[in-house]
Amino acid sequence: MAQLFIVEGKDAFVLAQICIERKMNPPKGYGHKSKFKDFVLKAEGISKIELAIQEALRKPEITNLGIVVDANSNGPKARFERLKQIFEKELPEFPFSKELSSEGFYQKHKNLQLGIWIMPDNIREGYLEHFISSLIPEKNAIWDFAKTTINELTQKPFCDFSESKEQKACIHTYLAWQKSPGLPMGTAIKANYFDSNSPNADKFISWFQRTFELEG
Amino acid sequence: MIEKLDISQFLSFHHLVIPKLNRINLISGRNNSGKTALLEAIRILSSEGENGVINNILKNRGLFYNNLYDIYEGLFNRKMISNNSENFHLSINDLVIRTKERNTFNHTFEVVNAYGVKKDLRPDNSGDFPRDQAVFIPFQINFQVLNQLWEPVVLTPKEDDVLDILRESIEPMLMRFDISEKSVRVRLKGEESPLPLQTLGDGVQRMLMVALSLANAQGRYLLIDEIELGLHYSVLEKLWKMIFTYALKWDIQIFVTTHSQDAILSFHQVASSNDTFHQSAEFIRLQIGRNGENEAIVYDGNRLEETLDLELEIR
Repeated sequence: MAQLFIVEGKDAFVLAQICIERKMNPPKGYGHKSKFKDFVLKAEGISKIELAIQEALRKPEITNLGIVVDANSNGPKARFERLKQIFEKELPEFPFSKELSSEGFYQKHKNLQLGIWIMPDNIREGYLEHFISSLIPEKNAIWDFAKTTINELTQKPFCDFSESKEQKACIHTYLAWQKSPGLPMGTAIKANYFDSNSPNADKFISWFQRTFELEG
Repeated sequence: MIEKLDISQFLSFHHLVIPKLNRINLISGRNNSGKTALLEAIRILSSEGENGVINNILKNRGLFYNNLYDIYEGLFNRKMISNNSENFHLSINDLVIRTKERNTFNHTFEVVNAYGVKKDLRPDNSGDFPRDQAVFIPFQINFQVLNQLWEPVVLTPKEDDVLDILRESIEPMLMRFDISEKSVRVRLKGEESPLPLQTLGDGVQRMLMVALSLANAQGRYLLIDEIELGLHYSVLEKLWKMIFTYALKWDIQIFVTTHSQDAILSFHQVASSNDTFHQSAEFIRLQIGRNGENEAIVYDGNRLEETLDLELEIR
C-alpha cells in the first residue's frame, strides 16, 4: 500500500509543508516531518505530469494518488479534461463520474483513491502562486508594496515577463524582501511568511485529507 | 533471438505476455513476481523442451524425484492444478507441455514443439546433463558453477576471448589465469609468482563468471539471476559494459534479473553511453497488475531515461 502526491512545478514541497505546519498526520507508511515529503513527486510541465501519472497507474501498490496541476490561462476545466485523457489511455475503466468542484475532485474506484486539485482553487485561472498568495495575512505591508512595485515594473519597456507570470514575480519579490531574504517557498512556510492556518487553505486541506484518507 | 514471450500456466504465471524483447533485457520485480520462473521459461523454450533441462529445473527447485512421473505437475500453475483435475497444459510461445496419459496408475507428460513433434518426459538422470541452449548463472555462485563454465573454455580459442575481456575490463597486465578446484589464481606481467584473483579488485570473481559465461554463450543465450548480489555500483557499471559489448560482438541475447535500483541505474548509464547500446536495451518490470493479472511493463531506452529522470522508483 503506497501513496503518491504528484505536484506540478518546482515548488512542489510547499504543499506538504503546509500540512506539516497544520500538524496533520502524514499518509500511512510515512513518518512525520521529512518523510512527509517522501511521497511528493514534483513534475515540471504537462508531459512530465503525464509520465508521472502513467508510472503511478502502472504501480498497482499505489492506492492513493493525489494530483495537483496549475490551471494556467487555459482554465481548470481544460486542465481537468487533459488529465482525464491521460487516464483514458492508461486506466480507461476509471469512471470519472464525479465532477470537479471548488472542493477539488476525488473519487474511489476499486483499489485506487484518486484526488485532483487544480491550482489555485479549481475555479479560476492561475497557478500555485495564486493559492500561496491567499495565505498572506491581510494588509501585509511587504506584500502590498511588492504588488505595487511589480505593477509599476510591468509598465516599463524593460519588463521581460508576460502578464500571466506576474503573480510569480510578486510572490518571489515578497520572499526576497523578508527578514531572511530569498527563502524557498517551503522554508518560508515554516518561517510563517505565509499563514498555513489561514481559512483560505481549508478546502485544499480537506481535499488532501480525503484523497489520502487521513484521520484528523 | 527470442522476439517476444507468451507464457501460460507455467509455474507462478497464469498468463504473461511480453510483446517485444530486445538483445539485452533487464527484468525486475518484487520477490515472487516470477523473475526466476521467467528465466526458466527461456531455458525451456531455447532448448525446445529438452528433457534434461526440464529435469534440471525441477531439481533446482527441489521438486525432482527419480522415476516419479508426477513430478512434472510441479511445472504447472497451482491454480490450474486445483481447478482442473484432468488434463494439464502449459505453453511457452509455441512450445507446449501437457498431460499425455492419465489413468489410475500413471500420469505421464509430453512436450510438443512448434512443429508438432512430441516427446515424452522421463524423470531420469538427464537433469544432471541438461542440454541447454542458454548459459544460466544462478545467484548462488560457487566453484562448481565456475568449473562448469571453465571446462568448455580452457585450451580453446575461447580462453583467449575471456582473457581479452578481462584485460579490457579489469587488468591490462593479465597474462593467464588458472581455475583449480578451490581457487582462481592469475599471472600478471612483471610478477614472478601467481596472485589470487581477489587481488585484482572488488567483484572480480563475478566479472570472471560473466566473462566465462559470455564466452560460452556465443550465438546463444545468457541468463543471469540477481546480477547485483554483493556488488557496488562501480562494479555493476563495469559488468554492464562487458555485457553490452560482448552481447553485440558475439550475437548473444541476454536476460538479467535484479531487484536493485543500483543495477537499474548502472544499466541505464551504460545503455545510454552510445546509440547501439541504447537501441539494444530494454527494461521490464514484472508485477501483478491492478486487474490481478500477471503484467510485464516494458521500458525502452528512451522511456527508461525519462522515468529515471522523474526520480520515481522504477523497480
